[in-house]
Amino acid sequence: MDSDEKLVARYLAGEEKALDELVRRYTGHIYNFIYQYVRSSQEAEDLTQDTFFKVWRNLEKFDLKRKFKVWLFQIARNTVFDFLRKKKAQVMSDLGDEESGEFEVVDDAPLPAEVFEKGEIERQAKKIIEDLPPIYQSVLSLYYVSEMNFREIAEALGEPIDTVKARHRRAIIRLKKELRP
Amino acid sequence: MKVTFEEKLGQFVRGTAIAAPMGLSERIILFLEEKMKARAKARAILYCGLSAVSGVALYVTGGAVVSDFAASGAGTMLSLVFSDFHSVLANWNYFLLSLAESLPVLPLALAFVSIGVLAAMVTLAVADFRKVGSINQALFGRR
Repeated sequence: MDSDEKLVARYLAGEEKALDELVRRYTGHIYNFIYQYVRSSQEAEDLTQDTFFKVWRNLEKFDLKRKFKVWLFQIARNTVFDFLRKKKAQVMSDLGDEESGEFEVVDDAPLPAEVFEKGEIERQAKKIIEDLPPIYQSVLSLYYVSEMNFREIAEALGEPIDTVKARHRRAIIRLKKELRP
Repeated sequence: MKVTFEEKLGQFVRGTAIAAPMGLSERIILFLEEKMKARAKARAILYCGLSAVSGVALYVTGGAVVSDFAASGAGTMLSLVFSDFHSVLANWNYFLLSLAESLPVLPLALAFVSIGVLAAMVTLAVADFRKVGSINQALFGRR
């Protein structure tokens, strides 16, 4: 399987099928990322299409030394934030308030993985993850689903790396706090 | 091997990921192909326009080359090559210099530029029309 950057190079050399492969590879990831913010299937579909349209229009300017995945998610982030701004959604409040104290560190003791084994707790954990504000969900999703490291996530979201790490840590702490018997 | 909390969390996060609707990637690919076709068509029309302009420029500059060439006496000098070849050969350097001085340089240069631009525009227009054709074939195949 060719790397993303190799597919971009192949497309720029005239092989249009290479772009199709990139679209198939990342449609699910981008859709999931955008859905966390808009919570609407139709809007997420439209914005995913817009994202790939912008990628296609700007692919000739893409620097092959960069990571394509990071650049793609930057475009997705800008697309969804532009949409939310136009919709005059309360972006900051919907995205989560890091100063609310809700995420203060209370207990950093490790929690055994077996806590997930019980069916009810499994459902609970899933609900907690789904109820997290988008800025925390997106960090978890980019880290565990799209398999990006913290540096790449920071670049994609346009945030300092320490902020990204803090959000990841706070999401885990919240989960532990909610699941602790 | 014991699974850690974070590994299990990773499994859960992956489990809560929202799956894209069926066929979304194919719809996006179709959408992009339509956009590529529209862009190639627009460029082909532009190149056809520029080809027409360079064709007109070639006609005008070509006419100027012919009339200036006739008025310059270069034709008479060239005919010496056939009528008095040995004299031309004996004084080839003066002959070449005189011939060069008599040529209508500016109209000739403009005519060559027009030929170059016309050739380039026609080549680009053909390439873009071919691209439109191949995208149409691909779209027809998908539908």
